[in-house]
Amino acid sequence: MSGGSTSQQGEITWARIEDDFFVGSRDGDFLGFIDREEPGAYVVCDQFSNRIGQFGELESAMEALREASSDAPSDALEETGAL
Amino acid sequence: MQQQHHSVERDEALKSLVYASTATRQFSDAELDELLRQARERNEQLDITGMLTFRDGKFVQFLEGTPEHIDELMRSIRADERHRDVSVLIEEPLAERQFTSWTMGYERMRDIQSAPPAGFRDTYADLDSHADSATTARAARELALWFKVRSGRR
Repeated sequence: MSGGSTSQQGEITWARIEDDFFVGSRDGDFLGFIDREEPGAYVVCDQFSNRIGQFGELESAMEALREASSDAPSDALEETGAL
Repeated sequence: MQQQHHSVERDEALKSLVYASTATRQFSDAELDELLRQARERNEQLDITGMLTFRDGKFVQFLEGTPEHIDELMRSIRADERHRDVSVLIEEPLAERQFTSWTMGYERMRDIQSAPPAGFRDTYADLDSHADSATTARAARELALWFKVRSGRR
């Protein structure tokens, strides 16, 4: 169940918490999360819970979060807003 | 009472502890409510904050408070017949409370219906696997994020 990608240098680790809630992180820093609010509606938020957009497919949502994180200033990613 | 506010943190050392345990039997909703009521009452007395998740017969609980109070609470939990296989996942000094609004926050986790998508790790499985500390810490933080998002939308 937990045999997904591992965090290597610069690589995003994707994790599933519930069937409809996913988190992306890189090197221990949260990039944000994807919340499937209903079938075909994947809402993407950054690490501060700011909404990035809504997408029809998980892959599109992942790409949006990946792009948003690469645009973000590096120091902003150090503050996770979680633990 | 579930929510409380620590507007002023007293100048004392704090500790964060995350543990996992297995329920010794099935819990009805009423029994889970009673466990939460007891936990909140006890945590308020000890000035402990945190949150609890329960899924597939397993608890994961986050606790924050003074080391003395956390240790006292853990002794109580280890002696509680409702828990078995109590395993401390994370125990570390804490600069600032993360669950200031909850004596014991709780969000019901729905049963998982499917395997994670390809390339995704399973947070609960990572917590349960006693993996390396970095994996455990990441999974715990993912669970905490999930809790905050879910609780913030009610």
